[in-house]
Amino acid sequence: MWSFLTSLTSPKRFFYLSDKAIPWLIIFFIPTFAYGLLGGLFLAPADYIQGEGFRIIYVHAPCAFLSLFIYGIMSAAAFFTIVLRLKMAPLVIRHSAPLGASFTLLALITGSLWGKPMWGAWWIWDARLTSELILLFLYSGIILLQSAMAQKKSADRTLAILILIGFIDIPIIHYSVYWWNTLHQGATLTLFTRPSIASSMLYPLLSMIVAFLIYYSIVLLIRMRYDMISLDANYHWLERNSL
Amino acid sequence: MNEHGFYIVSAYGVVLFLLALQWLVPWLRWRRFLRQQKNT
Repeated sequence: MWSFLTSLTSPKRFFYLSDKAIPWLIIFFIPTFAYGLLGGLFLAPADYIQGEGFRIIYVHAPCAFLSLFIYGIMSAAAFFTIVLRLKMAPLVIRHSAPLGASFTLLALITGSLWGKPMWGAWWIWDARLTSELILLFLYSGIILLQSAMAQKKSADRTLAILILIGFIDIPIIHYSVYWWNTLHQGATLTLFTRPSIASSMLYPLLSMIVAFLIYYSIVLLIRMRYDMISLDANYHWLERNSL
Repeated sequence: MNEHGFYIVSAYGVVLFLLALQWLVPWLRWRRFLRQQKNT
């Protein structure tokens, strides 16, 4: 059983599985993203308090969710790097970090663009905003450390330890709106309770979150594949695997 | 959408731009690498 699980994460197996998965992921991404975009911009009704400005939630919430989700994936990969020494885990970390940083930056920018018309300010030192900014600094630190230690053997383990220490910021971001008196609203969607927003507003939001998750998977797989090919350049092998 | 049009268009615009960039950067790097491999 264990050898079967580790064989799934071998580079050769990864290439075979990702080759099959990428076209399917693209097929699922296009309709979910198109529905989320159209639903968010045109199909969902305007909010009775925030008016049309609430439509920013359809890009802001998925970006914020992805910024936390990607860090969760990186933490799992860091655990596998240290404990199980899986070959693919450091690659997941290396290519997830820039994606996580860009989704965190997008969450901050779209949040700022939503905050100005609703709160009257581009930025406030609110607990949720500040902890999300710390996450951006964490991602930046991981990317910088990666490039600084690229030639060192201990780089993977050092990075993994930094990522696991930084994981403390994730529950702080999630619970900041409950632990402190903040201007930021509470979670729109929770795992165990019925969502309080109307289904006409909810479905495009769910569709957009799924589309962003698929997009992250596609870009991560493509980046990892290209990295592995460029490390092990062989002309004949390249021609067979080029997308 | 006239009410907060500037903010909505800017938010969607910046997200679409960065998503496209996330796709384009590895794709362009890959094309350049493939070209170099074929030339050698």
